[in-house]
Amino acid sequence: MEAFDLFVEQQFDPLMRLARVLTGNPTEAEDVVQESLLRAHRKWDQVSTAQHPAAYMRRVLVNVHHSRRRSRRWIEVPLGVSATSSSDSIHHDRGKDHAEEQALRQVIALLPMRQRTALVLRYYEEMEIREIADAMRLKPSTVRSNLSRALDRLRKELAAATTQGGESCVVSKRP
Amino acid sequence: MRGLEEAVGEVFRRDARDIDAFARTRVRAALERGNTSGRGRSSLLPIVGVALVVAGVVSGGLVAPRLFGHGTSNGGVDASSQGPTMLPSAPSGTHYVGLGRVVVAVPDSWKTTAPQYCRVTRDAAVMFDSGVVVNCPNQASVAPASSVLVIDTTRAYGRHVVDQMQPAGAVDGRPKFEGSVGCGGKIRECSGAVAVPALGTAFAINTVGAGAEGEMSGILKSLRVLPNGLTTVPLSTGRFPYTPTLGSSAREVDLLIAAMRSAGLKPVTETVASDGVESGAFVASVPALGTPVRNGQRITVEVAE
Repeated sequence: MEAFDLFVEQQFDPLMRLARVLTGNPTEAEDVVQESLLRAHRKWDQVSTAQHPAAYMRRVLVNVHHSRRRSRRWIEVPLGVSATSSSDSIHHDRGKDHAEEQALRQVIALLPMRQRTALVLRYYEEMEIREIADAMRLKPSTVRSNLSRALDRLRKELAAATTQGGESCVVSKRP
Repeated sequence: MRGLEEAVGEVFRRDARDIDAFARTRVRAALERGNTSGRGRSSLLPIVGVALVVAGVVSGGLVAPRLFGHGTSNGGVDASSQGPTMLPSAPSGTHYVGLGRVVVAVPDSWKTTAPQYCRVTRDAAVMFDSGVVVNCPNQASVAPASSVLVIDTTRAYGRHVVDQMQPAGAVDGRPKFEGSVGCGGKIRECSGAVAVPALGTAFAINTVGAGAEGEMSGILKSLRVLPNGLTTVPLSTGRFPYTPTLGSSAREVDLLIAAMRSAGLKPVTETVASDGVESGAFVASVPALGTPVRNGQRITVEVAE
């Protein structure tokens, strides 16, 4: 098995999961991973000799995701679920948790690209601020500010959604 | 609500589990084929083209891009050969057609440019099938003709087609799937299907007439995976995929040329005299659409003068 082939075998699942979380869309995630792997193949000398090839690939994937998002005007936002949809008291709490999760997913989808990426790298990949800065090619202070703004916005939007009953939308203009 | 940061992490972890089990197969198939049609869109095409060039179109364009290191064996054609890759010879009276590196042999009289009416041909033909349903008047009055529909299994429609098939061993080292073969009707008609999902290709086959069973069996048995270094001339225009035929518009010619470039081929256009065809419209491709060629090979696209 060639080195690149082996690399794809090892990295495919983590890359696919990261792309899925970054894009919020399984189909777009496949495209992002595919394009990232093509870029990696073009620069295989650099990837294979990098100190941390997996970290290098994460950076490529983040770049690919950002370039694709920049070229799009519209993004898809998951459909919401009403918190009061379940009348069964036994399932009510579970339904409420699910509704909260859906509401959170929607608000995350509406975050500006950088803020969302910073959130994913921090709370999904559990990366340090310095590592996120490296992956996003930003200063650590900018990463901190993106994370802080993202969390503030999530709190505000979720509070507003709770008071308004959790209205949802399907498609929204890119923030 | 739980701590916001914890909740955010939980949402991400749940989303991360929502991955199609076949995503890996599709991505690998698209990478191997150097084809991003369907899921991948136009933004990727130039990158694929560059990747193909960087990956291995050297020595006069005769060495394959090797994104993956699969060796194949193919009736005397050595896939791992370092020299110029030989084009395979089809059985007498037939020629190979297909998509990417997967081909079947069809009788020489079956063309990829047979005139179509609402995706139905009067003559035996090979054509790309995107699964688009066309509602046409008087379709029932068209007599059935033999055909091979070439399907991209990296797309949703192609995946649906493969879902109807069963594993049937391997061909040239790749898992093969087959659909059940059925024959019947007043005019003897057989249908069958075969696929190599790992390379993103399936064929839905229809044979008509007295020799329908034999023809079906011959096509199914002829399935081959071309060795590295070879590909096929794109059968479809990519963006709105179907097979261009005589008289297809200049816009479709442009899309076909783009599909050829993204497959790592070198298309050149030539104008030829063609009665009854609008200037700039598609006349033919040399070699013909769907036929095996070497990576980086020059393809002549003939357009009406």
